[in-house]
Amino acid sequence: MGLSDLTALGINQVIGGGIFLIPAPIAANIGSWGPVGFIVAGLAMLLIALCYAETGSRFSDTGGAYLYARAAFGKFIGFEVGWMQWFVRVSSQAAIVSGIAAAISYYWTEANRGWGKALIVSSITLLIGYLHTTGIRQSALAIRFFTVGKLAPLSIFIVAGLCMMDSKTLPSFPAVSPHQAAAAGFMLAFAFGGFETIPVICGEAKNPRRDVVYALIATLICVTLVMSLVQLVYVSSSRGITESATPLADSAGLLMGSAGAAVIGIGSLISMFGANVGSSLAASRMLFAFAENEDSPPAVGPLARAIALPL
Amino acid sequence: MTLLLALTGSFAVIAGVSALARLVTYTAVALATLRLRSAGFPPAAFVLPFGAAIPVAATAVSLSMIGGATRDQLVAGALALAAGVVLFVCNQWNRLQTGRWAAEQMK
Repeated sequence: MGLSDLTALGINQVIGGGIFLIPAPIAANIGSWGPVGFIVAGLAMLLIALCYAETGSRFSDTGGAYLYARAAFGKFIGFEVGWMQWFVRVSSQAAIVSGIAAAISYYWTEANRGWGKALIVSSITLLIGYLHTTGIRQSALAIRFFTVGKLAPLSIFIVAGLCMMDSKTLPSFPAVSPHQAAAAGFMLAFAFGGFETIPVICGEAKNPRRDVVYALIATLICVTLVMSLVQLVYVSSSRGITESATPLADSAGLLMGSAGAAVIGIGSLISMFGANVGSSLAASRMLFAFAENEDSPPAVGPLARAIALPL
Repeated sequence: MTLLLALTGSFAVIAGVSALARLVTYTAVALATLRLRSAGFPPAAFVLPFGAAIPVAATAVSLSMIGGATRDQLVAGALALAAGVVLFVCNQWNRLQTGRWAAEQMK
């Protein structure tokens, strides 16, 4: 794996489903400051990413933060961190699945409540579980399909939005309370999650020392640019609407009509589905790592190994 | 597990819990970066410049982002950590018992 492969992987991890959902809560808290917020958070995440790069270079096994914390602070802290890591995977997956239901609700309002939501959420989760039992791998072709499937609609959205934007459509910068800024910062941590995958696989990199650091920096620059532009177009086109389950599709509808909304809607579905398949694979790896270090009940190890299911 | 969470929470709620858990692991890695620099740990392929500045700043950044969580999110996070303690203790106990049983058989 070279520098460009690692960067592509990182971008894929960060720009999953979150960006299609997060603009609304961010705008609700900090309004037009949103794009600036993404840039500040991008720089903050770079500091954390650099720590991952140095510490990751000490280990060759998979496991990431769990292994690092275990080596540094012992079994108990290590287990707690690993448990949180598994929790991150499972909960972001769940957030994205409920995001898929929200995306479908743009066309079928029942999809985001009651039985409609239960039906969609269950069938998607079970479908992904089934796909894993058939032993799918993330083939290079599939990764390219998902990458184009999400980046193309986002680019259309950004270009169209920037072309139609003028100073009148951009709401003035609101006064932001420290509380709102903190709440936005907290949500931004969700938006940027995923870059930590790069140092975890640095054992597979050709030139770990150089490539991992540059790949982390390149990933964070690219995703910061994309996400802050998306947020900029969103705040300029949404006309102050901050309550939305499908913020980007609504915004695209205002900019480009129903065709635009459809492009973004389909792009968001492809992206969220792809992110979900990828992260459920990673979650099952986590249980693997637990079992290898004898930190899970004895039954989990053979179970995880035998079926490799995203538990 | 995914199913359970997705069925019971909205995107914003689950994303909040996920962000909190993420920030806990980020803090741990930033602190581990400092700790692992002392002797006796596996060597690093490279060490960040400016001494402790970057890990310390990274710790401060993650902690201040945790400060943006709502009370409910913090309670949920604390419950998740507490569940981790229970799991850890059960697992250690379980291993202890298995070890004893194995020792009995050896006699």
